[in-house]
Amino acid sequence: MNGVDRLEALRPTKDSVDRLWSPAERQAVLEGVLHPARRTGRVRRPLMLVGAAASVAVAALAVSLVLPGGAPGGASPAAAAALDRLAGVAAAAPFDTARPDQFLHMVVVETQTGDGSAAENPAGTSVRTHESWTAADGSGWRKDTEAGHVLYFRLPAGGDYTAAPSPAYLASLPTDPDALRARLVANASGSTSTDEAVFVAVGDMLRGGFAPPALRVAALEALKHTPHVSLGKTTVDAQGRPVVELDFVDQGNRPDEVQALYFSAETSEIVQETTQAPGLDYRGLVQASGVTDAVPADVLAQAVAPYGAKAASNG
Amino acid sequence: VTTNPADADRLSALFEAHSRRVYAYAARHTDPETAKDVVAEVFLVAWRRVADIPEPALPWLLVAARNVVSNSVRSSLRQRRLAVVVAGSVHGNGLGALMPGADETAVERSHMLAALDALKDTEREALLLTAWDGLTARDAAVVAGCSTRAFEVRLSRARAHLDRVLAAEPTPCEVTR
Repeated sequence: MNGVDRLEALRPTKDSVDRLWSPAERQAVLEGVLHPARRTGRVRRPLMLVGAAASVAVAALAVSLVLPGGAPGGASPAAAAALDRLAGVAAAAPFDTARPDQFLHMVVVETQTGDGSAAENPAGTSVRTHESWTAADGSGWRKDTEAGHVLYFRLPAGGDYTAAPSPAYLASLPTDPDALRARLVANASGSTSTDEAVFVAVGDMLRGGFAPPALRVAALEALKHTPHVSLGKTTVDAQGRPVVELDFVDQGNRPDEVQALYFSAETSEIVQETTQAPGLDYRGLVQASGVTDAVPADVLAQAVAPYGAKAASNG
Repeated sequence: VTTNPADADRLSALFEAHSRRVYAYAARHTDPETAKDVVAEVFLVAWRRVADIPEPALPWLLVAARNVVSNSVRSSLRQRRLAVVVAGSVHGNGLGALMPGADETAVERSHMLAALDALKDTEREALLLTAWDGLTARDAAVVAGCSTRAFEVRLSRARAHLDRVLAAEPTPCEVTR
């Protein structure tokens, strides 16, 4: 028996699949698709990052299991100096804050070439637009547009479903730099290292202009104490806005991958993010952000709460 | 979203015929739990575009699944990485869990997982698209995102590589991580 024959003998069967995904769960999915109003059951977890870094994930796993929480050192001297300048900007920067009856509105345009999982045959370039409205508790609505197709979602709180950081999340964070970094490290999950977790968390909280100045300053200070952070060369983003690029490159955990945050030189908010890795070129551009009083009627009318997620209320 | 009863019947039929295959595809690219969400999203897209789905439908559905998995890179805005770490190894994703689970096949499963882990990602996927998903080379090439010719070359190499790895089968304790 050759290898393919042996592989075919281990092909998933109806029973082996049903063990993992019960007939009742299957039926609930079908019902949820056909009849959105009847959706009940478990809350959908946010779809995880898969594919983009799959090619490096095995190495990442091996390293992450043995690395202590963070390596000694901090950002490069040039990055630290840039962060100091940004902190000066942040301290005096305006920020958008929403009342409980308002929404954080954000439009992010993402462009991606390849998915990192098949470098020898990368997928074509795709462009996707996320427009989201985030309520004070983190629930919200999202409108995704790609290749002429539009999907509308009602999203529950607590799921990282919208592009904007939840006001409740921002309000929960300490503004003392050491305490903030400690909080981010203590709550780090889903990253290959605590250093990466801090970098990603800063990206999440400073995306758009919603973080208060004191929090921005603390976040920038936290990055100064984060190894693998260096100053990049980009000085304007895809919309021509002046930016300061800060890169995260951890060859031990994610070889040949550069994650970058682009801070507005004028406001210190993050206006662009990129990831470049073998077989992957990703850019997320914050096209617009601000506070709005209402979610558009077409979004309210057409949005569905996917997979049994408890729907967001209408403000 | 369509409300045509005939469309609903077709989607139900597609779901009955292919949802387990879509789940199996998704589970080996993510994990058994995340795969449930991927299937739901695939059929949500299918429902919105039911008139566009060709026959045979499985390749279309698997391409949709591939896109859902890839789109999660974009939609998540890099916020969560753990699943990547878990899913990056065939020992960590749903691949092993999908295999039939009789005790007498445990050693064989272990050998096969170790052998698949030794292959390039593209080789492993080529084998699974044909041996597990039952796709022709032409349909599998569509799902893999390459030309039929490129896929056939890849598949041929993958078969040879798998045979070589299995020919040097280690003992189960040697493949344990």
